[in-house]
Amino acid sequence: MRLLAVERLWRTALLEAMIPAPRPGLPAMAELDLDAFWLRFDEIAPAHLQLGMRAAAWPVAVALPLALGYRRPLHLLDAEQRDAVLQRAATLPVASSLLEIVKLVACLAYFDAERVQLGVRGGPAS
Amino acid sequence: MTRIDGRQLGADLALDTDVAIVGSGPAGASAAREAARLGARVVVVESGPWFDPAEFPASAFAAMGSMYRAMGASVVVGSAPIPYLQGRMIGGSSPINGAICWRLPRDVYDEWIARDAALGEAVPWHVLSAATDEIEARIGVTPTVPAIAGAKNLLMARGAEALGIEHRPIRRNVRGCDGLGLCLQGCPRGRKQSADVTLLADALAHDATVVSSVEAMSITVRRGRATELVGRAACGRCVTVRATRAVIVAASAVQTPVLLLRSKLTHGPVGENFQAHPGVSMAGRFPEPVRMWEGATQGHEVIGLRSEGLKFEALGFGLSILATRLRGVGSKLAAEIAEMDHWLDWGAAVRATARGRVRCVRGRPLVTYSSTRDDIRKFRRGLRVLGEMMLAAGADEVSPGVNGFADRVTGVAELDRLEQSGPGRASAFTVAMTHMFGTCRMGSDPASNVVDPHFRHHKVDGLYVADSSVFPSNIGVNPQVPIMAMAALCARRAVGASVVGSVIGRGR
Repeated sequence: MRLLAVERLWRTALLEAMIPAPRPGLPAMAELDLDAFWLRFDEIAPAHLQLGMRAAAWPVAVALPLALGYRRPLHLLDAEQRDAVLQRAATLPVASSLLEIVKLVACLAYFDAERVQLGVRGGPAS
Repeated sequence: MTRIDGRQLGADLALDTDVAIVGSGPAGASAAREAARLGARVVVVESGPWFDPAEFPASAFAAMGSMYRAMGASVVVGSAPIPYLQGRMIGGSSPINGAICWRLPRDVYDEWIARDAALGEAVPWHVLSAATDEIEARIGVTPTVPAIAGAKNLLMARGAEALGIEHRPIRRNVRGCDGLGLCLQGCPRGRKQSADVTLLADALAHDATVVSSVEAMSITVRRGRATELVGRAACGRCVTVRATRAVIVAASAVQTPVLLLRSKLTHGPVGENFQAHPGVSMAGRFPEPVRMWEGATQGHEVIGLRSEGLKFEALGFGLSILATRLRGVGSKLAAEIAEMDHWLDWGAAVRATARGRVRCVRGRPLVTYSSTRDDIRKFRRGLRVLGEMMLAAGADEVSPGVNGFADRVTGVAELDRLEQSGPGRASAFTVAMTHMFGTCRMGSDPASNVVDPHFRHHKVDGLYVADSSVFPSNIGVNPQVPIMAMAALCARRAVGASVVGSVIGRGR
């Protein structure tokens, strides 16, 4: 399933908005290199998961920011505006279901990073 | 001992054997071991690759991508989509399960016999028990000791004790487990005694051949007898296994009926009677750090409500899956992740009454399944008990993860309200499914069963089914040991040995 270049920007923006910096010692999603993750995701994720991410991008990353008056899609908003969009989306029936897919993918991507695992566990797995 | 990697074949492959087995999970490995020990030539065909513990991935995402079928995101469709988990590697799901071991409960066996008395003659209880004893000894089944339990398991004991519900350390197939908590992505230290390193290793020691990364595509039937397996290797080559005595299908309750349907073996209710154990979970926040990722992955269970069709287990997800159970999105989720060392998740497995169906659509499984009202009532009941146990164990709040209900609960009254008047639709609940059964059910009546009480296909000679597809019902407990025991009996039948006269005592 080929994505448009702009769709790739939207889905990355969704992941970055989903997990901003939790606390000192844990990076924000935006600080992680997601290229390798997306390569693997595109290779192995079942079609319904890939479709779910794609289906989430249009309403949450494009339509909702416009409806909220930002005049730009999610990837062009600052971190505070992105968070406002996600908090609003979480209150809407369809958008909140789509956000569950984004949340799953975001968590897989975030905790795939070794520095995140080390940050949470407080040291290498022994 | 022969291992053939289907990713590296330079030409099409044809093998001759006595017994061809599809699948290398608990059923296939056990059947292979038993048949090989009885002197049969055995070839096992497995769709997934061979992993050694040193190769096990370091993150849940990497594990799901390489060791789970469809990245662990296969779903049943019906009143609500429910993900179900299956391994796709040598050993099937056993290298990536929670290592939980149960014997087949006597009350479940009695239900089966009540439904079909012939089953009791073909699979006598004492024979099944003896096979179970022998397998448990081989795979090192032992109760989880407190030293490696970790907070998640010890707190469950505390909560159940406070409520007066029967509980116990989970019996697991491990040797030298040090509570690393990585069972679900494969123990990197090789401590789990999964089917690949025990039963299949025994089969290999008895000269079995194991062919990995080859998908069994069809079973050839000539003059009413199964004679051949035809598979497609990951490299694209064709693999043919000619079997003189038996073809044993042990590919899981989802994949086995699909293989039969793909082979045009449509006799009986193939793919029907699909049953499972859907599960819900409760997340709880404790005032002190509990570090859910530490300790035995699943080391404690609450069994006092098994007669209601409910069994509770401490869960031990990787960090990413635990994070998906935390609340909120964006800054709210980040705040929860910052304190994720305070969160635990416990699960309730439901012996569900729903029956679904596995179909073959363009060669692939499509599973349809809708929870019944009684199952949904059990979801609510299970969540209520989990929440009460968590609060009794010291949690200051719990989160049921139920749409349309509070995501922050601090008192028993709210839990009671969830049980009594919570949502009545399946889609409101966060459910995952494990343990699938019944899609090639065994029984005397050819019209309503696919195999007879001796595991033989009702219409095709030399064709046997060894996995949980043959179970007449779901069993309410973790099935890997009963599957192994039943598969051993199936193999004895397939090679023409007496079921009663086993190979116990003949060593590995």
